[in-house]
Amino acid sequence: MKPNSDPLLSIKGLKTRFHTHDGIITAVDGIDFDVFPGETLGLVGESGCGKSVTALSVLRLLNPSMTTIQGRVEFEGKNLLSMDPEEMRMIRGSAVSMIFQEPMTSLNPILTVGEQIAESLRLHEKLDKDKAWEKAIHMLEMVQIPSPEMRAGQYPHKLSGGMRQRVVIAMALCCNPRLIFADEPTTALDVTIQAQIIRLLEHLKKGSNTSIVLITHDLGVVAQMASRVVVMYAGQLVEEAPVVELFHDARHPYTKGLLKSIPIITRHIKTRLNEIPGIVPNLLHMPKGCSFHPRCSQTMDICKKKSPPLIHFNGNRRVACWLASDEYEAITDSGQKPLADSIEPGQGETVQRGN
Amino acid sequence: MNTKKNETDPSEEIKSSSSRGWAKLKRNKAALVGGIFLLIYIGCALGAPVLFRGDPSAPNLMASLSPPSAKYFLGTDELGRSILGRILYGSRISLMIAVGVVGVGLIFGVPVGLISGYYGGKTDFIIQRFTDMMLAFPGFLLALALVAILGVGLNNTVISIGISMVPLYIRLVRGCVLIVREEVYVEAARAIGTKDRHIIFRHILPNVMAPIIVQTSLGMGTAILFAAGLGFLGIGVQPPTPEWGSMLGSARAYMMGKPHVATFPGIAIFLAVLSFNLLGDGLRDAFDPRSKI
Amino acid sequence: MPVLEVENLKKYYPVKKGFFQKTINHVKAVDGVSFHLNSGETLGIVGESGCGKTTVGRSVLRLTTPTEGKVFFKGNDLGKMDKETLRKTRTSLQIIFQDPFSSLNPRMNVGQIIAEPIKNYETISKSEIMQRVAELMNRVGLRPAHMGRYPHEFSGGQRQRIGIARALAVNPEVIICDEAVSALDVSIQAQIINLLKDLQQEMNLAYLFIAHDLSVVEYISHRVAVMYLGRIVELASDRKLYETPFHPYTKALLSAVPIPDPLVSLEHEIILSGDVPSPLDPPEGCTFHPRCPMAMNKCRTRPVYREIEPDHWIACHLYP
Repeated sequence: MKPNSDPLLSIKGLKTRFHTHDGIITAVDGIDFDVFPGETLGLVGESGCGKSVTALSVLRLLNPSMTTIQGRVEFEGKNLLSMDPEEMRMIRGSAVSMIFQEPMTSLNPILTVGEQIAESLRLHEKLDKDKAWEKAIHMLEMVQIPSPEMRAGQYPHKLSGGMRQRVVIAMALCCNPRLIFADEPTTALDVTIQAQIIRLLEHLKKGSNTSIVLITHDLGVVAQMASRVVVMYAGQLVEEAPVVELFHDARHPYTKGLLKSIPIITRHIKTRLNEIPGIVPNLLHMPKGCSFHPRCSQTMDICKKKSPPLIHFNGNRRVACWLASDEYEAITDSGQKPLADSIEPGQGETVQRGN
Repeated sequence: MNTKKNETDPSEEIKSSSSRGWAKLKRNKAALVGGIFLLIYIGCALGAPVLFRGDPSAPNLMASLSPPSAKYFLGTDELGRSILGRILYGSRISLMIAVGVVGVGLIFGVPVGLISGYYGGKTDFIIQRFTDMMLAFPGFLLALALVAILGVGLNNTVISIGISMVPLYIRLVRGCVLIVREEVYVEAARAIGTKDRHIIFRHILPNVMAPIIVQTSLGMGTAILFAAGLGFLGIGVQPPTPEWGSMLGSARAYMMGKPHVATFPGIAIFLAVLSFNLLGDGLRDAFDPRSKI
Repeated sequence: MPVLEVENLKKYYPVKKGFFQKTINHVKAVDGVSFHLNSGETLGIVGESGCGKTTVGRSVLRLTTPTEGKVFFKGNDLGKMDKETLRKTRTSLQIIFQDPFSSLNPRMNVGQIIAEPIKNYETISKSEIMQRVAELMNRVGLRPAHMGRYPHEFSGGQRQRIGIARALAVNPEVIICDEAVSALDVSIQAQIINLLKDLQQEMNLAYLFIAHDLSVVEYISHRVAVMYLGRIVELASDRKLYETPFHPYTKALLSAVPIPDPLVSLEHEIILSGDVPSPLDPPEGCTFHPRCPMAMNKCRTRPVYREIEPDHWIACHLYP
């Protein structure tokens, strides 16, 4: 099911580099993908793959003195990366908002939960104090917190983990964002609470046309919530597909390996779990060619030399793997350029130094 | 329920926290300056007989109170002795005092701190109340009181200031032990059958070394300062031994007319203490696990 | 005879208040837990935060002293042992910790870390120790050449392997795996889980596998116990528990696990209302009853934990 409308968010050639004392770390190495209105896009990968950094780069929440961001991020037609900070501030929290992973640390411990929601409302919706408080209570109700009037006056430490996450969701939703980045929104929660939160997010999405970018390493959560999935590895995009196809017809060896390595409760299979040997490469010392090749069971010669381009197929699928390229033979035999519609990662446009 | 830890390839060089610390220390200009001064200081102390010929305490009344000149670079004091010579030999005295004081502090303070922190309970309670009592007095006053009991002179100076520093070490070490004691690897050591005394020396002590080293550097500076204070009052190292503080004390009478007699020992004290402090601060910034990178 | 038998284990933490540190309340972290573990098998313990599973692990090994209850290792009561006998018994009862970053002393190299347990119990020559360490490293998938390296030079998964080698060093019979794979990336988890299973086969190890990830627990365990607020609510073979759970909490827990397959629908999902209550103020009677969709009046009294069919234990008034 390929969405027909124009993308809400269009990331082109995003490259994020951190300047550290140990060297330059390329956390995000030239990725592009789109987010369409009303969809839930899963952004999947293990730790260090760059998924959180992608969201932080789009929202420009990274420390400008240590980061360089290149590329274009078009939101409703405007490039977020070249906006001036004031304009960006107006978009952050209202049109585009974020749910962070740890609800305890993303809430200010010295402000009541009601106050934290109201603050956003006063800033973006320009509501006066009383109206903002009223709406804050209404938001708490929307996220199914019982006794919202009482809870609004409480401090975060008085609430349980699940409730705090609901507050964080309320904050993210209060100004009717068009796009929400949810960074591991349920990872820190117990599984029964996670189920509640997933239900809540699905329920809240129903009425609106809000898009969610669901960042997570939990394939179960992605399977439940996302309609399309993008897989990242070592800062690069390796596969993109609609959710059913990703789980049942994955093409990239990393995706396939990942899916085969997780025990699945319903299947009662006790055979040996499939291992992906080795470990994620050190971002300071990336291997030549395809970044996954040292761990791949299907490595070919070309994988060690050249980084694979993102290859389009079946209309809405992409994979960065030489195996998927029909022209593999053509390249090794005659050195011809590939024929199929493969697209190179986006060319960097303006060089941004952080903000 | 937990954030996943990063899996990266270790065959490439990954900096440990201590090599990161050294790198950080090298970047700290103030600490570097302190370190250089310290080397100069130690050089003076070791090389005094080479840098200055003759007996620094031998009087020469003919040249009494001469201002700085080509012959006497820093001038002479009231007994005609070269101030430069006395400062150079004085650096030996101060260094000996600094090492001695810190030595006393470490020998008594660290084991007591380890035991107090590791075992807790009644032992800890009693030791802490005792430490509280000692810490109720400003360090210098405590040293003063001890000198009054023990008497004057170099040895007693070292003992008195040393004892006044012990409670600081006890407190410091105990605090660190309380934290390290809760680390998972200590629990793991217990699980694999490691006896208590081995846990303390193999697991806890190495991991509290960093703050001890910082305290030692700062403590040396403090020791020199306190010793100078006692010397100034005349109850520290006794003349004719060239101790900077007592030099300062005897120069008081001549401040008006011949300030150089006091100024140069004063500068020596200042630079010595400053270098220990700069280095100590730099060490703390670089190696204290609580300060963010 | 089972290699480990736990009877009515309790661990209460006193809550003190006031200048004189008066005990006003207790946190009932573990409130009467009983189970047995057979040699060569894995008993999984699952539950959400606050259920007490980690405390059970610590109490069984006596790393914390239980408030009440007995733990028998091969028939010997650990509580009745003197300090030295207990220390010697530890060669048979080992533990792998959750955090691969804090469970290793950063100032000791890998060789020293793995050798430590050997040195604690045996007096053998240095070269023999090195040989044993090298064998252990090989066994867990590490290169012995790296013996001189320090923990920070390894990745999380490799550090966990070091922890496993350390636990194996003195040939234990029982290993408590306390969230041993929870802090690892998914692709590394598979490596470690496979390793643990291989070792179990080779060395006939019994595991007490404590975790919150139900899929992992089901995969690796032969029997599984479900804990809620300090008590076991259900214990059965893994197949029984996952296919035909009896206890309402078990059912809710299992239905809440998101399946990594978009085609599997969640029509059977039971969504529990409310949050897990605090162990400081647990509900009366059955600790689960305020959230239980099948609660009855009877549930205000504590249900008895009993065996309703062979090796299937449950504490629920629905099955009297």
